[in-house]
Amino acid sequence: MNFTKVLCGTTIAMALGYAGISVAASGADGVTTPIKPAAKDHPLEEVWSGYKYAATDTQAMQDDEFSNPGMAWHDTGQELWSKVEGDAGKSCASCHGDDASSMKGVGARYPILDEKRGKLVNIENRINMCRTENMKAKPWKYDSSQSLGMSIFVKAQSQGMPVNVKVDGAAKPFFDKGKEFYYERRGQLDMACATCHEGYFGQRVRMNTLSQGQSNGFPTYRLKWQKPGSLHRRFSGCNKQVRAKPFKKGSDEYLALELYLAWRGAGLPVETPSVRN
Amino acid sequence: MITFGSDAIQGGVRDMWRNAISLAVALAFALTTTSAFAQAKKKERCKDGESEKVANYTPVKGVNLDWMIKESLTGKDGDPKAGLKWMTHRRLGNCIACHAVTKIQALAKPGDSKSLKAYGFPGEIAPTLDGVADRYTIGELRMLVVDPKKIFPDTIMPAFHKNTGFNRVIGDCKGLAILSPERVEDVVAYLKTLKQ
Ligand code: HEC
Ligand code: HEC
Repeated sequence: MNFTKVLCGTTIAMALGYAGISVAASGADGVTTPIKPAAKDHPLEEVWSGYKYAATDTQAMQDDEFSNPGMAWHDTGQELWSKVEGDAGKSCASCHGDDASSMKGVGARYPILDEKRGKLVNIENRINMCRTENMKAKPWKYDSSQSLGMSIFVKAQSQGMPVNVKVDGAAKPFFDKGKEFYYERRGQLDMACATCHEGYFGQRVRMNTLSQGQSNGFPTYRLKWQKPGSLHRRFSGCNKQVRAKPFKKGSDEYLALELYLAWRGAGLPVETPSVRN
Repeated sequence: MITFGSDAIQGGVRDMWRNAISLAVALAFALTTTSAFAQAKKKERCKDGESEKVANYTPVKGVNLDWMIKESLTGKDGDPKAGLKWMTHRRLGNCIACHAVTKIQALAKPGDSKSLKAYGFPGEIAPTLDGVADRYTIGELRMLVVDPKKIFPDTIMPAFHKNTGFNRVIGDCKGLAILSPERVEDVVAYLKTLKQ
């Protein structure tokens, strides 16, 4: 039992190694050992990545760079990084450099509050803001192959770094809104996010094992979808699963939920592109 | 005697709208295939079977639990064989998503993927229903299926015979209860057989 856990940890470290990021040899990572949340008012005693609850062969698929199907989208993102598009004649690389390691850390601290606009900004939004404002190019549609590719590529630069979002100060009202959303029952089945992911993680609902519903691996390659999907696509799916009307991807509601969820998973390593059932 | 609430009347009106809408969809199909396709794609959660009818009932004090519904919602006994069907149906009932029942699991034959899919792999988040008829009266079992939150306010278990008072129900499930009065009685009849 312990042996498998250790083995898993080693493969993860190896997988992270290819991105040039070293993982601390000891200490909790929420993947092999649980994280004890630092926040006093945190509802969970132990924080675990969805990796823990995924099937063993799914975990293995994620761990191996060559079998991880999300890597194809990562490569799409990499190609787009230096592709000039839009009226300003620029690419991402024109502003951020050819080496995308300038993006290191971004995936761990988003979503952030854009105080000027008074709105939360996630990676998908930020990429589109760069496109429309700096490149004078068209924004990408949520969950298009370009948006997924670039989001995966950017987030993967933070692989292994602990999720750490700012939820105090001006961000507090957004955090509170996200928290309220998380605990509000909805749909014909009358369930909140917390009903399943706080109350029953680690237990099976028919064939699915419930995880804590953490966001550190997104965009995630889901075997059921046969492609990667955004976190907001997952929100929409979980809403529909309880027969509730979903919100729009990129809506204020889902952005606030994204911020709150990142706080619940603070300290988990960015795992993008993760692989899930 | 059980009569049906105002929802039954609303149901009739809704039927008229439904017909009108299907006509509109048919017309749209004739004009643009894509919009009809979008309409059809939207209707995916509550397919046919969820119920517009909700019976009137009055909960009374229970014996082992706080509440029960003493009388049958239809005035008749249900059919346990049909009850088994609803309890294992993925959309209607799906009780075994959460509850294990030894008698149902025994119907899953190793090597027979069809029976495994129907009866195997019960969830593990709710108490087993084995012997549930020894623990509770029929009226209490009926209350638990109709609206368990009346007894356990914080439970994850959905109300199977309720169609109002929800938050943000998706379009095609709006105004519907998961199980019709007849089907609730079928499920209750099956639960009645779960003695040790
Ligand atoms: C009926 C139970 C249920 C409810 C209610 C529910 N989910 Fe889920 N959720 C699942 C299942 C099943 C999965 C797939 C297995 C898993 O990862 O837990 C899942 C997966 C997820 C994942 C992916 C986790 C990963 O590691 O890839 C996230 C994120 C998530 N849910 C968030 C939410 C949020 C936010 C809400 C509320 C809007 C919610 N869920 C409501 C059942 C539920
Ligand atoms: C999403 C999960 C879920 C589903 C689906 C579900 N239940 Fe339950 N049920 C529970 C839980 C959890 C309890 C325990 C009550 C509590 O929450 O403390 C329970 C309690 C019960 C009890 C009382 C058991 C006891 O020993 O106290 C009965 C009877 C019951 N359920 C029947 C059913 C039937 C019949 C169906 C389907 C028509 C069903 N349940 C569907 C979760 C579920």
